[in-house]
Amino acid sequence: MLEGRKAQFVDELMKQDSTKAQAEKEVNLCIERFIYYSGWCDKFQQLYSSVNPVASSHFNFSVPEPTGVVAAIAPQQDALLGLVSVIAPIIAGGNTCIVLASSTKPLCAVTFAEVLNSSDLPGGVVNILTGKVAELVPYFADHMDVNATVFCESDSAIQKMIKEKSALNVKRVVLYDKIKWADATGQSPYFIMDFQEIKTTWHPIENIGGAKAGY
Amino acid sequence: MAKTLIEKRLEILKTYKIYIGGKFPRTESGRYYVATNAKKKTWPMFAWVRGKISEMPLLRPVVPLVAGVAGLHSTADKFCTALLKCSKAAKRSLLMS
Amino acid sequence: MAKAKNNTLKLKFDSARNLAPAPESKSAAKIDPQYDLFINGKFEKPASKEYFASINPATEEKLSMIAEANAADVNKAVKAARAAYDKTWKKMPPAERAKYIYRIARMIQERAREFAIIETLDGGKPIRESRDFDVPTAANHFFYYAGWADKLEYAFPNRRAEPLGIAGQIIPWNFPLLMAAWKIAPALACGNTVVLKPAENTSLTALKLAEIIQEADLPPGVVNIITGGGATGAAIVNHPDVNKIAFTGSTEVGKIIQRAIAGTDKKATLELGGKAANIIFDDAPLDQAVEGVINGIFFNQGHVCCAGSRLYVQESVFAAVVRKLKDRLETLIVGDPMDKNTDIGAINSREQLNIINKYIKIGQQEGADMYQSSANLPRKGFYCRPTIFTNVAQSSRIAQEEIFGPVLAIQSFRTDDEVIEKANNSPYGLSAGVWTDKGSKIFNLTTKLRAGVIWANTFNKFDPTSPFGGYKESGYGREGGLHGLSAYINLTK
Repeated sequence: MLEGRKAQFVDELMKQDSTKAQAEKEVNLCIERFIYYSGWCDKFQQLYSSVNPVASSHFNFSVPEPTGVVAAIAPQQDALLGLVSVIAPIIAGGNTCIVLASSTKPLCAVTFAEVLNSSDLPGGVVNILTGKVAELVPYFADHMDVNATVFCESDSAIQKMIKEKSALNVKRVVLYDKIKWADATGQSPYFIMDFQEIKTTWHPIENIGGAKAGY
Repeated sequence: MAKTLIEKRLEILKTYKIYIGGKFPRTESGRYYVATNAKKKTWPMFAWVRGKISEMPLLRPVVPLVAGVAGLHSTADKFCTALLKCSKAAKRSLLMS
Repeated sequence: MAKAKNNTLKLKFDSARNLAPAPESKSAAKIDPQYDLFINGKFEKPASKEYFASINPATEEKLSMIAEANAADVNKAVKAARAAYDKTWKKMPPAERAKYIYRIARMIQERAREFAIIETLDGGKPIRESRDFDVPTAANHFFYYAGWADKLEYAFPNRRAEPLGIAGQIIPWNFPLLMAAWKIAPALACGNTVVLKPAENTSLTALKLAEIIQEADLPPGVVNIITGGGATGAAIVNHPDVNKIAFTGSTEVGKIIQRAIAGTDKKATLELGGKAANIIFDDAPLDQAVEGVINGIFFNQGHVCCAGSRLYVQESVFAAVVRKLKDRLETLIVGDPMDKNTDIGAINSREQLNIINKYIKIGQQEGADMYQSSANLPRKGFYCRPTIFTNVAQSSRIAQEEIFGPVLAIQSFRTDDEVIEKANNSPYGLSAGVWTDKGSKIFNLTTKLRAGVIWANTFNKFDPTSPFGGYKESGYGREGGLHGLSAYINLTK
């Protein structure tokens, strides 16, 4: 069955106009990318947190927290690698997502959903839909339970529409129209931070022997 | 002989579903579209999700799970494991081919 | 302390009622009869030739006439900022930039008394707050970010921090000088130049800051301060050569800005409204919690985006807390903001007073029980008695909408999960407060509350090192601290 799966990914990429070598390279890159982001899951918080030296008797610290529900329109071209590169940092940061797969090259997105489903990822963390971008984008962008939107194409009319509709509930809008997913620059913890909020907590420190009493 | 039979065999196109909440439901829209490649060869049919708000999964973010100081480690760990499993599943399939 | 009926101690504050007036002197501050626009290092008359009056909301007396900038003025300011960015500021060694920012910080400290007086005259806030909070915190903000200017390479691992260009900054009337500091200091430290517009009602301290910037000999055009109303703000937001919009104000205007810049590459940080939940558990030190709640909602007359305007009290201590709150409410001194004893000053404007009164009426119409202090209000000026509502429904407008005034909506709860659900049931997510003696409960709550700033057993504390900003419809981006730098940089490899 697993053998069939691998054949399926490569086969599907080839059906979508990749050569065998390109397809195998893309599948390999996807795996590397997942390993890369899985490593970040329990590390990026340490890198982007801070203890803030406030000038009062308080213990004060800031940590990143997931933004919430992210609606992503996956890249049309890098059908599998783009999909993985967008989803991985979103869920590595603890968000859930609804992803519209490439409508021109949707084959591996659905197969990928099957991989996710058999990988102990809790149901609902990643949701993959297929359909036409122009028709569905408005519903992604003005849904009141969505906290952030991602768009990966350079179509300026759609970009504008997403930003405008996202204002309805002050969604964070992330545009990935200039990212080369196959390059080394296609992965970094800064992609995780695109879907994080910084929470700052103040806690008083009891004063021993003087100065102001904190409560 | 056998070979020609297979070549002539009429394929049934697979109808791909959508993935919501860990399940593979059919689209409520009842619409499907056929994907094609550059040579206009057709491939399986895809659920054409209708632009309708009720179709969007209403999810509670996994937010409370991650972050903070106390809860942070265990949950991040859980995600890490799940992601690694994704990649391992894909990698195993690659190695075994 | 005297024993009260229900067996809890009642704190005595009676003596405060009889304090003799202790007014700060107006003469220690110089306010010109008319102010022009600060563009390219000089004060210039507005192209519009129009001026509007700035009044003292405590007395309704006119303080000064303020220039009303139009689109031509905005364009002039943006051009000055672009020239300064290209020719000097971007090229200046970061350590030199830092020294200019340090200069501003020092000069604010030196003129602290004058700034405090003007802030209080112009905005109506108690002199005690402008003197002890607004002005020193503003100076500290410049001190803090000055130091970052030449250390940015340490802030973003594996990346280079580049300035964005011109920052268009629009600030509100509740903390005029402090918000100017929050905006200008990090922008300059990161190498950007600035066009800042203070709120129409409270332009004076920003213009005084312009004087300091002039005296500090900042290269002309690095900071431009232009005054005016909504149309002036819109001209900044829509100017094609502005690279970044930083806005603090209402969620309504924040959404308009987000739409307005949709078709552009402009970056934005939005610090918008809030409806913070302050939560008291039955094991909390109640007297301290009550003080925290009072500070949470009545600080700056409740004109605070992170004000603790929703109070959730655990059922078993509900009656005790409400009684203590009412007792404390009676002791608050409402009146002349220039008096050093005043706790609650003037409402910032007639419009805002009307909004607050509208909500007080709505609260009563919706069936909530109102309690107001019996304080006598001055005859002239805009004042509002500190007000609390009990018997409030979660769906009530006074529990859902931001009032931006001294009005508190109180509800009760039984379990932790219930109060988390209620607290998070808001489109806003700026701040929250938790009062309990149990450490593990604090962190259970602070991790589950969806808000950018959480105060545990304290409230309304601020510091330049501490990032501030919201979740959800309270906006995006952070101001303050290491994380506040991100708002003013592009990361490159």
